[in-house]
Amino acid sequence: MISVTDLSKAFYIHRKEPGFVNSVKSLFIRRKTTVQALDRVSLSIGEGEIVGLIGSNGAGKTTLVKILSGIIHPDSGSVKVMGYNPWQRKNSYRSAISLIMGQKAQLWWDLPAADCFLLLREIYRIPGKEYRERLDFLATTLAVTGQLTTQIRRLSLGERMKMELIAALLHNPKVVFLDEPTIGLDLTAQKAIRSFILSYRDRHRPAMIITSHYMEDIRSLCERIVILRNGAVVYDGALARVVSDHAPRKIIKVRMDDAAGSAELPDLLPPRLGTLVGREDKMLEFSVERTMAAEAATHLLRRLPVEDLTINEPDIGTVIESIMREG
Amino acid sequence: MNLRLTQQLFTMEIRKAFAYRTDFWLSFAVSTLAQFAVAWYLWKSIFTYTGKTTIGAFTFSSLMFYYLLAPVIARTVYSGNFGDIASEIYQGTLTRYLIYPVSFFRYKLIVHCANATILLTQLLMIIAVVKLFIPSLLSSYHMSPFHIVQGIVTTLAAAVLYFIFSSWLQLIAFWADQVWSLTAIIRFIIGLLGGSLLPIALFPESMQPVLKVLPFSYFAHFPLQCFLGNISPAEWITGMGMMTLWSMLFCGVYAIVWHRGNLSYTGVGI
Repeated sequence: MISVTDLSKAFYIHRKEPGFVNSVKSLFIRRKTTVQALDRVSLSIGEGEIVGLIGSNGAGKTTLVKILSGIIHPDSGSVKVMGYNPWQRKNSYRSAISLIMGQKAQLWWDLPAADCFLLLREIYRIPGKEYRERLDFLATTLAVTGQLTTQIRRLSLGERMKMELIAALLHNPKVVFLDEPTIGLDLTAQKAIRSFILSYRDRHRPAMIITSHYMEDIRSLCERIVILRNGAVVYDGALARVVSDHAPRKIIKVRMDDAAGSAELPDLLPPRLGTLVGREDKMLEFSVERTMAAEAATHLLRRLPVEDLTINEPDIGTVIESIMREG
Repeated sequence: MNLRLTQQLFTMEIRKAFAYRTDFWLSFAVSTLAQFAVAWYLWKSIFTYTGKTTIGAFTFSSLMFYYLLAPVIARTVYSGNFGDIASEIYQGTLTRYLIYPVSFFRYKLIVHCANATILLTQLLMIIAVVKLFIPSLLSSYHMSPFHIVQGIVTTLAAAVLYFIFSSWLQLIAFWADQVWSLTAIIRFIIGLLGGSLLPIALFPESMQPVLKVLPFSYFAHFPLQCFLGNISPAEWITGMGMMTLWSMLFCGVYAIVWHRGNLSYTGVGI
């Protein structure tokens, strides 16, 4: 459904040093720098797939979404979404996609949501019966039926985000871009929106791209992630595999029984098996080679008065963060 | 753009205007009365000081009626914020129109015409009040129902011409983030050369043929003259022809600038 090959985009940004003198200088001379927002990005996404686009600020996530949705033009490379070139902005293409921007309201601030939806009904030419059924389904599922007649600017952030979701999905898009869909929302609203997105995907099978800084969004919604660093793809694969592929070590947590007290412990693990990375009262934490985890655990069980022992994967957020930082 | 969408956009703008009814009436009363009061005191002093009963072809009362209508016609033709499109580009809200399957130009044109229609009702209210309560202001004019209809049609055509003219200028925001000063200068030029600040009849005779060819006089002066019954059928057809030519020219410029500007658009803010 989405196919991107060797996509690149650079932005030219004016730089201005701080201070009054530099402000005056900038009236006459401006220094321009080039920022490579995307660097030969390639990926493809199929129907019904939810892909998490992850990267630190400025990694190129939003630029990619803007190009895929036809807002901005790429410098080079090719993009096909449902067979369309997004940049041509054909009406048939724009009728089949949707972009939800958590940080930017798209609905008309001064109008009640119901009026905004009526306008969208005409923009997307949705037949009356279908419009009523979809609006009823979406508003009921998101529990905002009572707020439909309230002016958008008078809604809470969570309610407004739900209205934005309804507006974006009224026309049953085949491709949905969600840019920070849960930003600024409380935990309950975040949960409601995540569960709604999943049920919507199961029902309509659109291709979805989600960018988010919230790890919980990625964990709950995405089976596949694409990590961008400095505009380039540094990981593209299953979320479940990211840890095994990129974390060479596991964590062994040991809780000793009362008999151990707080006595000094001898060297617990030979360096080839792992190292002690944390100790708090009777809790010990070891970092061990992935392939040596079983041998290290056996070794610890023999040497220590163990009450409990667990072998854990490192936190997925930490692994992703390290990939974003180092590749 | 389909008819139902046009209708929906039109009524949406009316609903928006009525949602803020205090602002609707206040802007109507304050802007009309304030400009009228300034003109009254200024011209009263000029007539008293010079001791003349007419200046150009205007008596004091006919000039006052001119100043009552001219700003309202100008406001109707401008229909709100000159910098609306520039600010959509600057703030990145243009993005939503690029996502929706509608033409940004047509969408904004309909919104502009809807606002012009709302303001046109205010204009008609002023004419009705003057006709009923201060008919002496109308003594120098031949304002008939035909002229009122002609004025309405011309004002709406002027609103379309003004929209196209101001739109392509605002597209400069694709390259220069802030175009506020440019828009302020243009507004002043339009006000001066378009007849809303000073009647074109009071300009030197040598300038008048030039002003008739430029688009500015079609924004306020020409519709106003239609209302006042000063335009013959032949002059009206010529004037409408000029407006059509300018509209086509500005449409062409808009299309080129829009295409180039889109290549520079970065969709800031998301």
